Amino acid sequence: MSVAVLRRIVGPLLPLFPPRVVLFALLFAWFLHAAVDLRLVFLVRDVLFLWNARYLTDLLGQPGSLLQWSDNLLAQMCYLGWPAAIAIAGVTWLLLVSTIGLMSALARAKIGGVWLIPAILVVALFSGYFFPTPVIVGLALAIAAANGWARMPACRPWLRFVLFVAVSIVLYYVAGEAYYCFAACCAIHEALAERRWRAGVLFLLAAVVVKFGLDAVLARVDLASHNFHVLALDKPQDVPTNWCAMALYLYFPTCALFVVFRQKVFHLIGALWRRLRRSLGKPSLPEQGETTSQSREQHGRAGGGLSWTRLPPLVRWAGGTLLALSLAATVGFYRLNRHRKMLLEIEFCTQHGLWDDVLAKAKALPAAGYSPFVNHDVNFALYHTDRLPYQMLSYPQVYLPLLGMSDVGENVALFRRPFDLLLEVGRVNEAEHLALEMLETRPSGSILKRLAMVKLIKDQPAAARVILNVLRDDLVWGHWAKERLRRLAADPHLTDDDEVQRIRGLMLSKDDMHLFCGFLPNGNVFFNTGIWLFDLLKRNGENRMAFEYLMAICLCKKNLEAVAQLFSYLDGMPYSATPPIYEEAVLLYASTHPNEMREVGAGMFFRGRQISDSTLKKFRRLQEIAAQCGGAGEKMKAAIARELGDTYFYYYYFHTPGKP
Amino acid sequence: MNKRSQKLIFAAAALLALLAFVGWRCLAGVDLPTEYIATGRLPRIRPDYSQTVIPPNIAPLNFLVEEPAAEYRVRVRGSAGDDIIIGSRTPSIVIPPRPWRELLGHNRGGRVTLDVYAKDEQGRWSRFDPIANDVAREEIDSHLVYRLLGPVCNFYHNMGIYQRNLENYDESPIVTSDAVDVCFNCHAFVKNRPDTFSFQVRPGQAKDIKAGMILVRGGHALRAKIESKAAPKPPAYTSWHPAGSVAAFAMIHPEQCFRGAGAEIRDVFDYDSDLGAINFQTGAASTSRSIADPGRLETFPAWSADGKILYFSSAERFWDRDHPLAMDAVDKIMYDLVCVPYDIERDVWSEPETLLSAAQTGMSISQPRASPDGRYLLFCMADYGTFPIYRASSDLYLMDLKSRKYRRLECNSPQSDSWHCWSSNSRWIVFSSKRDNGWLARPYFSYIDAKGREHKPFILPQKDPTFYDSWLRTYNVPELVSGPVTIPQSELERAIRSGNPAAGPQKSSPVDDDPYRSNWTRPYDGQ
Repeated sequence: MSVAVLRRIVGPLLPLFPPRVVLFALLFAWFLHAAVDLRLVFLVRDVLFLWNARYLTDLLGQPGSLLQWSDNLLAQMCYLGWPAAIAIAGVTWLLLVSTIGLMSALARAKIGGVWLIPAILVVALFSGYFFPTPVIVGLALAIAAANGWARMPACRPWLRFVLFVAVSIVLYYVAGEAYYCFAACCAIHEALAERRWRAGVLFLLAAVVVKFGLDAVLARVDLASHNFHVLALDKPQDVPTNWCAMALYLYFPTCALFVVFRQKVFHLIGALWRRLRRSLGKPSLPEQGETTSQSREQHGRAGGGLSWTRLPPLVRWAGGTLLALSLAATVGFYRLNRHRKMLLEIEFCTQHGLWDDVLAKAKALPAAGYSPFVNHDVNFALYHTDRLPYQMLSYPQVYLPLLGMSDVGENVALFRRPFDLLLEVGRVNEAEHLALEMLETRPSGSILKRLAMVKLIKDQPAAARVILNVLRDDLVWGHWAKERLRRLAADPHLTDDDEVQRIRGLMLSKDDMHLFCGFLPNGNVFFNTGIWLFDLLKRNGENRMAFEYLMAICLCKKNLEAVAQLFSYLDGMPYSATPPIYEEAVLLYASTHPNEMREVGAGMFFRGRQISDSTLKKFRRLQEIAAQCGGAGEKMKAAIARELGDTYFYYYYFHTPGKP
Repeated sequence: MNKRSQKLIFAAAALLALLAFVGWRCLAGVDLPTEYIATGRLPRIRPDYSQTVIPPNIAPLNFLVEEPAAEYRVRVRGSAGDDIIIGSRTPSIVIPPRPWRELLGHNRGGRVTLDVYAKDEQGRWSRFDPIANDVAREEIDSHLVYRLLGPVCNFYHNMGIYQRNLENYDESPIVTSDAVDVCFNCHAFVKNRPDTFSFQVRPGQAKDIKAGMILVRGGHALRAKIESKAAPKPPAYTSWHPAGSVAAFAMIHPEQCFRGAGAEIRDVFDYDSDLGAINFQTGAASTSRSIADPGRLETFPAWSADGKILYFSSAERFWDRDHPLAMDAVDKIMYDLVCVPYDIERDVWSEPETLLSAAQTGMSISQPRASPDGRYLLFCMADYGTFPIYRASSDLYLMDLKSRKYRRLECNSPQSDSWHCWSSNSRWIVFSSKRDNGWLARPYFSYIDAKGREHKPFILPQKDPTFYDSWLRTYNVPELVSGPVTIPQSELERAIRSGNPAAGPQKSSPVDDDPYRSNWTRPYDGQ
C-alpha cells in the first residue's frame, strides 16, 4: 500500500484524533485509574444493574433514562477500575473532538483551543466521587449531534426543520437535559452563522415544543410505572448541582456565540485596549489591516525579544500542550477529595478483606477524621487479625463497635457494615432485616448477594434461588450467583459449604425477641441490641466474635460489671493468656469489689483466672500515680498518659465517649 | 435499463424472496411428530397447570417443560374447536392468545388437554401422558387488583396498587409510590365493582402526607375525614356494605417486631384495635361496644352477602397501660370469629356472637370473607395473632354458614396462605400464597364448585413462564373486580395530597365540602 493510499484512508480520520486531545484523554484515563481510583467510586455508586432486557425496559419511561442505564453500567465497570476509566476517557474524547468540530464549523475556520475549558471542567467533575457520567455522556451525544448538524449539506428549509425535530425527539429522549445544548447550538448555527434568523427562532420554539410534548407523551405512557422491572429501581441519581456541571452545560452555547461573533468581539476588545493605552499616553497598537511585521518594525521590536509566534511549531505545540495539561492537572490536584478517598480506601480494604491495609490506613487517619464506619472497619480488621482484645485501644474508639441506627442515619446503604458483622457473628435474622432495608432503599448486586447468603444460611433454597436468578445477570456478582445456583442444584442444603455451615453453627435456633425488645406503656416498641451478642454467646460459648465484640462494647461503655461477668466465658476462647485489656478492666472492677479477687500462692486470681504479673504491675503503678497526684487533675492524666497511655486504665479514666 | 437499475431490481427481488420464505415458515406452523415413544408418565411442567379447573376467560397458561430435550411440541386440544400446536426449541411454551381464547370458548364446561412431545439429541420423539385441565362454565372476574411491594420492613419506597387483566397479560398501575411516596394498603371494593372502592394511605418518605382513607366513587377520589378525638387512629382494613352506602373499618395500632430466629423475621401485632362504620349518605360515623369493646381487639370486618351481619375477628386484650404486653406473650393473642347483626336503617348494632372460638380450634382466626351468594365464609387460621401473611401456619378454612361447619381447604400449602377474595359469582377464590419459596407471596386461584368443593389452585399466569423465577416482589391483598379500574392516577394523587396539613386551608376543595365528613361518636366514651 503506497503512502498516498494510506494518506487517503487515514487523512480524513486525523481531525478525529487531534494529538493534544488524544494525549489529554490518555492522561485523563490514567488520572481516573490511578489518582481517583474508580474502584472506590464503585463503593459509592453501587446500584443494581442487570444485563437483561427487563432491566432496560424499566428505564425507558423518561427522557434521559438511557443515560441512567449507561450511568449504572459505567458504575458497574468501576468495580475493576480501568474499564470505566477507559470508557469515561473515550466519552471525554468524543465530547472534546465534537466541540472542536462544532466550533470550527460555526466559525468556518479551524479553531483548536476550544476543547481546553470543557476538558478542565470534566477533570474537575470527576475528581470527586459522585461520578456524574450522565453529564458528559449526554453532552458528548448532544455536541456530536450538533457537530453533525452544523456540517450537514444545505437542503430545503422544510426538510431541515423536519430533520431537526426528528433528531430533537431522539436526542431529548436519549440525552435528557444535555439536549438543550444541542438545540441552542443548532439555533445559533441557523440564526447567526447561516444568517437564517427565522429558522433559528423556529428551532428554538420547536425545541421547547419537543421538550414539553415528549414529557407529556411519556407521562401518559410511563413504561417505568408499568412494573416491568425486576426490582424496584433506585431513584435516578441526581447529579449534584455544582458549578462544574452548570459551567459545562453553559459553556457550549456561550462558546458557540463567541466563535460566531469572535471578529466583532476581538475588534471591540482591540478598540477598548487601544483607547486604554491612549488614555495612559502609550503609543497605539496597529489598527486592523496592518501586518504584524509592519507593526513590529514600526514599534522597533523586529529581531529583538522573545516572540511566541517566532518559536518553532513543535516547541509551540509542546509548550501549549504542557500549559493545557498543567492547568488540567492543577485543577485535578486541588479538586481531589483526599479525605474522602482515604475513607473509601479503608472501606474498600474492608470489603476485600485486606485487614492489614485497613489498619495501616486507619493509623494514618487523624482521630478527628474517624467516622462510625471507620471505627467499625478498624474493629472488624482487628477481629479478623486476632488483635481486637489486644489492640482495640491503639485506635481511637470514638463510637461503639456495633453500629446502631443512629450511626447510619438516613443512609441505609451503609447498613452493609453492620450487616457483615451481624451475619458473621451469627445474628442472621438481624442481618436479613438490614439487607431487606437496603434492598428496598437502594438495591444493588452486593446487597442481593448478601441477601442470597442469608437465605442460603437459613436453608431456604427456594427463596435463595429467586434472588440468585436475579443476581445471575449482574455484571459483578453474576458468576458468584451462577456458581451458587449450580451448588444448590447439586445440594439444596449446601451441607458441604464451610462458610454456610460455620454460621449455621453460630445462629440461634430459638427466637429471643422477648429478650431484646418489649412494649412501652404507650404500645411502642423498644430494642436492646446488646442482648443479641450475649444470647449468641450463651448458645455457643466458643463464639469468639460475639465474645470479643461484646467485651469491646462493654469496655467502651465502661461497664465493668458486665466485663467481670463475661470473664467466665474466657474459658471457651482460644487465648493462650488473658488479654491484658480484659485484666485491666477486671482489676478496676475488683478495686470496688475486693472480695472478687483471690490470692493463691504468689498469684492473684479473678473468678478463677490468674491475672498476669505485668498487668498487676501496671495496676500498682496506676495506684502509685493516683496517690502521688492526689487522685485527680491534669497532672495525673499526663502521668498516666505517659506511662500507661495504651492501657484500659487510661481509657477508663480519661476517655470521653464520642470523642477521639 | 442501466446496470445500476438492474442491481437495484435484483436486490429488491432477493429481499422479497427472503421475506416470502420467512413468511411461509411463520405461517406454515408446525406438525406433531408421527413417530414417538410413549413415556407413560406426565411431563414435568412449571408453573404447575395440570389437573386443575381453569376459568373460560383466563389468559393463556404459558409454561416451561422441565424435561431435557432439543425440541418440543405441544398440542392444546379440546373436544371442540381447533387444536393449537406449538413448536419450540426452548422449554418455554407460549400459547397464542386468540386460538387459546377460542378453544376455551368452545370447551366451556369441558376439558382442554396438553399433549407434550420432546425430541432428544438423537432426533427421537417422546410423548408424555396428556395433561388435562377442566374448563369451568363460570367466568372469573376480568381483573385482579393487588398491592405489589418488596419484602419490606421499616422502609418502603417502591410499592403500588396495580391491576391485571386476567384475560390477557396487561398490568397497569392504579396508584404507585412513584407518584406519592407513601404506603398504600387495604384496598376494598363494593361487591367486586371497580368503580367504587377505598384504600388507605400511610406516610412514607412523603411525611407531609396524612394517613387516611381515600374513597373512589363516580370517577372521583376524595379523602374521607373520619378521624376525631374518639377515633385517633386512621381506618385500616375496610369492608363495604353490599349496599355501598356504609363501610366498616378497623382502627388499629399495629406494631412490628423482628424475630431473632425462624424463617420469617417479621411479626406484627395489634396493640389495640376497634371497629367502626361510616355511612356515606349521612356522613355519620359510628361505633358500638359490640364492635369496639375496650377489653377486646376487633379487626378484619367483613359484611355478609345481605349486609345484615358483620363478621370480624376478636381477641382478648389482656394488657393495658399499667401492664404492657409482654413480648413473649404475643403468641398468646388468639382471635375468635365473631359476628354481629346490624340494622342499617337504624344504625344499630346488636350483641356480638362468637361463631368459632380460638379455644375450640386451638388457632387464631382472621380475615373472614363471606361469599357473595351468602353460602360460605372463608377465613384464615394460624398459630396465633392477626397477621397471617407472616405465619407459615396460616391456612384457609371454609365455613358453611347454614350448618356452621368448617373445614380446612385442600388447596392450602405448608407455607402461608392468606388474603383471600371471592369472585362476584362465588365460584372462584384468589389468595396470596407463599408456597413457592416461603418468602414472597404469589396470587393463586381455585375453583369452588356448586357443592362447595375447592379444586387444585393455579398461579396467576404470566406471558413469560419464567417470570416468577426472578420476581422479587410480593402480591398482597389480591381482589377480584369485574372490570378495569379507570380512575386516573393523577386524580388519586390529588386526593391523597388533599389532606396534606402543610397545604394550608382548602375551603374550596371538594374534600371540605364533601358529605363524607363524620361526626364520630363513641357511645361509651367517658364511661
